[in-house]
Amino acid sequence: MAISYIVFFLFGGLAAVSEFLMVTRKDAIESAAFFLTSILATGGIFLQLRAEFVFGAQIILYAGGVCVLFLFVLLLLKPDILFRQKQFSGQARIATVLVAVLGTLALAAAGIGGGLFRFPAPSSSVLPANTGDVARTLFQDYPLALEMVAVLLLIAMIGAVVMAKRGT
Amino acid sequence: MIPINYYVFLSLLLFTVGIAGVLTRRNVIVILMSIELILNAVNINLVAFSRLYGSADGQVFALFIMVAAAAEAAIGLGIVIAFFRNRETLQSDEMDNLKW
Repeated sequence: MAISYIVFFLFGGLAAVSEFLMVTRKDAIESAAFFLTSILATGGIFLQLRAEFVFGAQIILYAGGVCVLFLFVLLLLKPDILFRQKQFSGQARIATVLVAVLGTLALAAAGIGGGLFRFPAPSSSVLPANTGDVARTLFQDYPLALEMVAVLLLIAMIGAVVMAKRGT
Repeated sequence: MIPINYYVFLSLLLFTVGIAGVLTRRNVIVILMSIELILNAVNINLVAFSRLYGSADGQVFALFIMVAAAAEAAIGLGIVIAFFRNRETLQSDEMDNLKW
C-alpha cells in the first residue's frame, strides 16, 4: 500500500514542480521542456490509477503530438525576435496575488468544509475499469459523441492547414 | 487506493498554477501551454473518480477532453503562425485589432 503513496507523491510532485517552472521560466523553449515533463508526470498518475488507455493516449497525443507541435512552432517563428520581447505581462504581480487568494480559498473550502466534500471511502472490492470497459462505454454509450469528436478533429485539421497557408 | 482527496488537491494545485500562467505570461504560446495543463488537471479528477467508482465513464470523458485540447492546440498555433506572419510579434497585448 505504501508504494502507491510513494508513486503518487513522486509523480504528483514532479508534475507540480515542472508546471511551476514552466510558468516562471523566461525562455519559452525551456517552458516547452517543462510542459513535456509535467505531461509525462501526469501520465504516471494515470498509470497509477490503472487507466492504461488514457495513459497511452496521453503519451501519444500530448507528449508525441501537442508538445512537438509547440516546439516546432516556437522554433519556426524566429526565436531571436521572440525572446527579446517581454515575457511577463505588466499585471503579473497582481495576477499572482489574485491566483494565490483563489487557491487558498479553494483549499480552505475543501479542507475546513470537509463535510461538503465527503466522498465515499474507496472500497477495495471495486475493480478498476480496464481498457475493454473503456471501449465498451465509448462505442455503446457515447457513439454520437465519438463521431462528433472525429468530425471536430477533421475540421480542426483543415482549419489549421488553411490558416497556416501563405497568402490567404 | 489512495484517498480521493489527494487527487482532488493535486488537481486543484495544477489548475491554479495553470491559471497563474495564463494571467501572468505575455507570450501567446506559453499561454496556450498553460491552457493545455489546466485541461490536463481536470483529466486527473475525471480519471480518479472513474477509479473510485470502478466505472469507465470518467476515462471516456478524459479522452474527449484530450481530443478537444489537441484540436484547440492545432487551431491556436495556426492562428499564432498567421498572426506572427503579419505582425512579427507574439505579445498577447498587441493583439488589439478588434479594439475600438
